[in-house]
Amino acid sequence: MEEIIITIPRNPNKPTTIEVNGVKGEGCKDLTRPLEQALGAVKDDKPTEEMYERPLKQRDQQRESV
Amino acid sequence: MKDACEARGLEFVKKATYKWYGHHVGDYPMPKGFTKADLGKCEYAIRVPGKKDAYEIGVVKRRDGEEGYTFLYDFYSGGKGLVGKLFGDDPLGKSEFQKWNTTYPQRGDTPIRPLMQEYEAQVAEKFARQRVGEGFEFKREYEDNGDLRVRVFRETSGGGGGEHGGTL
Repeated sequence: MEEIIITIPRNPNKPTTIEVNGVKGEGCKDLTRPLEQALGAVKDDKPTEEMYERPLKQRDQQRESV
Repeated sequence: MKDACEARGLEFVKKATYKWYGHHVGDYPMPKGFTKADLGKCEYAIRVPGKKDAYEIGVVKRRDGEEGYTFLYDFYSGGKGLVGKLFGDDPLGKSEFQKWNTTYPQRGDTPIRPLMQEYEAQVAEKFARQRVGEGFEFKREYEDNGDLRVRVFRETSGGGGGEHGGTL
């Protein structure tokens, strides 16, 4: 499952966070960019392990070229 | 913002002035880039329907070098009904208003938070609706402490995580 979780705290001192699960590679950033632009400036960006994994299609293409 | 106001039982209108005490007594600092002469003037106003004495919120362009809008409003004496409405009529809102009302110095950014929270949720849901055609669904969830979560998700078939021990 691909999932984006936007957590909006009631406390004004806590930041809104966007978490992406199940999207491999830099695709997660492309997916959330319009949302980040609409919500305001990004203060912190913590990539998950999944961001460093290559999407399956990309891996297959690499395998074919070997 | 109009949708967020409606969801919180407020009214968003195009208006050049907003209702307030009418005289700045210097008890709270002015927002960056604004002077006393700017108070009472706005591009849009947010008001409490059915409470004609309640003060209003002025929506104005920011002057701190950042893009977007900010709010000007008079929260003295609870803004004559405005602040209570901003916190909300639900038990959480009522308890937050009670706490705010007995805390000094009162902070102007605290009452506006539930409205901003709703605004951000509306933005997130608009983003999600634009992705329904790509197979995404979305759901809004609340925590007991008032935190709000918008989950945007879609099932993916096969692929993805298999070789890496799987996320599916």
